[in-house]
Amino acid sequence: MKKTLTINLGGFIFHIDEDAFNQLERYLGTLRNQFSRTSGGDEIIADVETRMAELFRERNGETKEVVNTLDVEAVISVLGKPEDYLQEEDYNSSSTDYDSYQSYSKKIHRDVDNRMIGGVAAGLAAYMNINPVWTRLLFFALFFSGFGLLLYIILWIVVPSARTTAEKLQMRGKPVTLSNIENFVREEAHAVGNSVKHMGRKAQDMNRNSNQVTGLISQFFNGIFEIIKLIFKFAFKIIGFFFLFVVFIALASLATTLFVGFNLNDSHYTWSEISDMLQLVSNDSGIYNAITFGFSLLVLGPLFLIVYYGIRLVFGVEPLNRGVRKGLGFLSLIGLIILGSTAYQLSEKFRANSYHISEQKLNLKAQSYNLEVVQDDIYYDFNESFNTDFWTFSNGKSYYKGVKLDIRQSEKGYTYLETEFNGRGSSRQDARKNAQNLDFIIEVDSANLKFSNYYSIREGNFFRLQKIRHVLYMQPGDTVYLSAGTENLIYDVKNINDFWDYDMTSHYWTMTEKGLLCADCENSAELLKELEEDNFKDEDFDQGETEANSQVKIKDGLIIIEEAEAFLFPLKQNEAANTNYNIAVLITPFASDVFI
Amino acid sequence: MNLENAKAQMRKGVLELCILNMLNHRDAYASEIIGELKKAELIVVEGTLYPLLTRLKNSGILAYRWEESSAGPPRKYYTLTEIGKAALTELLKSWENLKEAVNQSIQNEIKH
Repeated sequence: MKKTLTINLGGFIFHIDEDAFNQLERYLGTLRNQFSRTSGGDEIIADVETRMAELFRERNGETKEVVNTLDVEAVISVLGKPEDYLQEEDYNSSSTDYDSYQSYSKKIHRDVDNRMIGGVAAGLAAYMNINPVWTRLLFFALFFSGFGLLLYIILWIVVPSARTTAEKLQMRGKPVTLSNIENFVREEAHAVGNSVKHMGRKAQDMNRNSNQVTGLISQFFNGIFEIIKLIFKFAFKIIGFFFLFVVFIALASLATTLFVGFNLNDSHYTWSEISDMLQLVSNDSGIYNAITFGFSLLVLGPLFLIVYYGIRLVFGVEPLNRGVRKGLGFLSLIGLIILGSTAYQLSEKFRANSYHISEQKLNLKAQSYNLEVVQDDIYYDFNESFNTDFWTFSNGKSYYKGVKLDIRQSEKGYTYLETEFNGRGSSRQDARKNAQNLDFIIEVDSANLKFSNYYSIREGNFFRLQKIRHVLYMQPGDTVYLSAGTENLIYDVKNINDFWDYDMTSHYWTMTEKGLLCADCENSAELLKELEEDNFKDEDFDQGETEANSQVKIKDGLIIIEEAEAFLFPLKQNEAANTNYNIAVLITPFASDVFI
Repeated sequence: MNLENAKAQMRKGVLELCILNMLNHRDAYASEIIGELKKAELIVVEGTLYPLLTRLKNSGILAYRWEESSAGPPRKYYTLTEIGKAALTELLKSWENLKEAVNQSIQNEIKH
């Protein structure tokens, strides 16, 4: 059993079952949409309806009462699918109403008739209805940023050339002016309004048996859907423009950094400096080339996709075919593999660690001396701008901020400087060589010590995370003045006042038996007194076993491990009988730091 | 090459000519025109014809009048206007030329 509706088609009354009605409705709806923008579109629909009525009558005669889906299908097969109706239209471009038709289906094509290279600029100009000179100038200007070339090539690949007359006419849009944009919006809105109206009419036509309320609600939502679709259509265009804009900005700034060199986010490295750096790290150009090549491959695919997607959203070109997508993915993968393997090769060059220590006696005549830092252009480069650069270029040489200085008490009876060179390499030997081939500044005269807080690498050697660490061993009783700027040289210097490095400069520091003490600070005397009292208590535990070297002794419940420094562990008497001791060893570099 | 498509293109080119020629002899309504064209195998589906007729009417080549019918509602009878007659002459001339040229070209190729 089926519900039947009564319809009026081309002046005839038909009984039609519900399924057939829906099918017929869909068919005519599609046609109506298709011809909604063609002048005389309503007439076409009326003609088609009349013809359908004839065909139904021919088919069913007077005997059959109800039109069913089979009838509808048969009639549709005679008339053709909705898209068949357009076949004829596409190839006839003579009439005036073509303009109104094509301005809606405007599509970008390459204008191969007026091309200079690929017809991209000419096609774009035709699309925007402007003189191609402007688009060509634009592309020409963009070529310099590097972006233009990429964009041009992508457009060349992506945008089809205009071959048929229809395509050539489709290519020519209306001028992009504010009033045209307004018109476009209005016409789109009108189309939405029309379809809403149609729905209203349909709802009225509907048989009373059907539930009108639910019908109306669904129509209403369909109308809303149409409006949302319209909003999205515009949103996508805007997003597309945004995509292109972002990529354009990114590439333009990249290009600027590449060729001009630019202060970007406080870091003042230019591309040439970065490439110099890469060359300093890699001892053959192979690695350098591999890195740049791998990187280019890696970013090519995503960049292409972003640009393509932008173009797609703005101009509505075809989606990218699978082959190209796969190809791009493959290229990115290869880029990643190249980068990965080079990174591994590079890391191999940093595998081993080595250091060596040199000691230098300082012939300081005075008991009080100055500590200074070399303040030249390179120093200012590193320290004046608040950036975190650790390397810089000057006069074709690269400099690294990797020199630190500590101050300790001398136990040898004279003032001396110990310098530890640290470096990495593919082997211990290589690492040692890398650690040694560094240039830096130490100037010593009777009352002045001057250090650079940077080093440079001698020619033929490479950057391998080298570090230089000076330790100034001061005689007890001597005083050093830390001049301004030394805060960039000293590192974690232990002192009784417990000052941070930055607070230590511009003060006099005296080496006492207990450590470094500020000579011109108010609380120093107090601190020293406190320390002496503490120390007095300490001596209860210290049994005077400091003369032996590198020995472990157990005496009166204490395990005493002695090397250059002493470590004391309290131990209970009853545990002394137990042979299993858990001995934790605290290693501290300073004799003054004895933990109990 | 899509053979069906090529054939369709050829048919399309002469479709207008045939319609105008037919209406030059007598006025007809849509179903009659379709019947004739189908007989001549010039159209496959009827749908293609309606947009064409509307366009020809819009450009002033065709006009129509409503005529009562014995079998139902009034029918739309298409007729050729003066512009249409001129257009037909033009089209026939170019058809003759085209026929000539195509035959000539085919003949030449056969001789070679």
